[in-house]
Amino acid sequence: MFDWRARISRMRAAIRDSRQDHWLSAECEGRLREFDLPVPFDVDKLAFIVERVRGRPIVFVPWRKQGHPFGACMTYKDPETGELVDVICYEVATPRSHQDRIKLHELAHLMCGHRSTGLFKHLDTGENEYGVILRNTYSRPEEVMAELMAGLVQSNANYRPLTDACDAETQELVERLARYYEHRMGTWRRR
Amino acid sequence: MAAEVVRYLVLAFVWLTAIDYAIAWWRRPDEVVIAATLRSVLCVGALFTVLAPPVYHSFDHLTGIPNASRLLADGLLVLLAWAAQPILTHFSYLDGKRGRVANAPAVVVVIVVMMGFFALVPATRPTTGNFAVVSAGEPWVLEYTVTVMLLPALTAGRFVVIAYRFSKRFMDRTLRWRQHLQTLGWASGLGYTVHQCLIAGLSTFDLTYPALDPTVVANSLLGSCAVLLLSGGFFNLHACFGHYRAYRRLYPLWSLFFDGEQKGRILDALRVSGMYSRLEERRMQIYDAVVLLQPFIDRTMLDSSKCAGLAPTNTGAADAEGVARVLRAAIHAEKHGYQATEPLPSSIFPHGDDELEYLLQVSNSLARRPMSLG
Repeated sequence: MFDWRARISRMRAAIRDSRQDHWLSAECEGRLREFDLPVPFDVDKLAFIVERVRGRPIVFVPWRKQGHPFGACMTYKDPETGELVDVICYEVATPRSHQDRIKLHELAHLMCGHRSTGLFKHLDTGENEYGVILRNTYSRPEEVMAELMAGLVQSNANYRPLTDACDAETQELVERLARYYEHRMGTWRRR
Repeated sequence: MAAEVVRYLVLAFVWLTAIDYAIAWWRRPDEVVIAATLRSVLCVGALFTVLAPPVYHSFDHLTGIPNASRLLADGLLVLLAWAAQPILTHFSYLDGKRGRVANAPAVVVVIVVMMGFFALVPATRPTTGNFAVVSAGEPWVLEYTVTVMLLPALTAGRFVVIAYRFSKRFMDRTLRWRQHLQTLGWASGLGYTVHQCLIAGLSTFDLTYPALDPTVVANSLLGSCAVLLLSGGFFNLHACFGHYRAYRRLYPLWSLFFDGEQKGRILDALRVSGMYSRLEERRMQIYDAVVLLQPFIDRTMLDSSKCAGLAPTNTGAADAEGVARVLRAAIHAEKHGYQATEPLPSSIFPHGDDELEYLLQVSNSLARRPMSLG
């Protein structure tokens, strides 16, 4: 016997999830527009942009955990200068695109201004600036958002230069045309 | 009959493109250029719909004015040129403000003048054919045609210049081809506007049209303009199909780790971004799983697969079939809790541009000989 009620209930849940996803996606795109995506895309260049916006240096530290977690993001206070530094650790025993995804995930946490939760909380000093966030689970909303942002950046990034050497204005206009054809994400300009 | 089929095919194509852009606009409502494109495509769709014989005659019948549908269609053409202005400025200037060809009052003036000239043209029998051809030689037809075509011609001309200027700049072959098609499409549109004025001018000055049938030429120019300009959809479909194939081909490898179960709702959220995102997400899920499996991948396992004739490639990595065997063995090891005595120091997959190709080879190996790899 076909269970119409269960079917309708599942459909309603799917519609609700879909709405939530679209909201989340729009939220992520809104955050990303605050930053200029470098063309051709490079994670280090994006990190430099995030550094500039946040006013705090970012350091990438490769590690080989071979298991949980793939990456981590923490804020560290330089004992000599007293300067706050964002440290992003990433798994190194994996292909480069995956390393980039891990770095982007952690950068997304910084772009969203997430605070540490869950594991490693004991490393928190209690101040807001200090925190450790791990890329090991997608169960928390912050992780979902960071992963979605990382995915959006990676799927919207052009890894190869679009045009040959020409002036900056032409490059920008060519980039606009390419994004228009590909239905990619907007102009990435601060509005 | 064939002409009718082509007419309705173009109409269907235009409305499908409108749906495509409506989805894009719904996803990104704050994108000025997507919204402008949607408005333009809606104008094109309405224009072609009005020109469809049943709609054309129905509207004429409703208004009681012969060829009122033609006036409506021409008004839509002017509106189309106006709706395309933000796209023009977006691709012309970085600040998006300078160099507007037309603003709203100018469009209103053009439409009023156009209506005035239309009223002065002597009434002809209602026809869906080319108005400039059907009313050839009648007074005020040339003025009417020039008024209607002025703004679209200026817009199309500027688009031709922009499209041609950037067409050689693209290093990517697909984008370069699309840009060439766009240039050709705008050139066809410009050709159509000039052609319409030419027909009206020749008949006014009692000159002979050089080609056989001006209607066929005009329809060809208009149809090719619409199809070429909106043909981005074909290319997207092509790319989307390629990504879908790769996505499906990765399934054997992906299902090795996930047993056909999706991992969380990340995929649902990324689905709105298209097929490419789904492919990327599947690839990343595979890499995530392989990193988790890394402590169970023994270096000797990989070496033995190499010794068994599953030769190393010139990049130094074990070949795809060997990797497939090793992954299958590592999953068994994980299930039984056998940690590797000598874990692999680096990734089992190679780095570089051909990462996806390599994954597809591994996945193909699993799909080709699923039993022998256990």
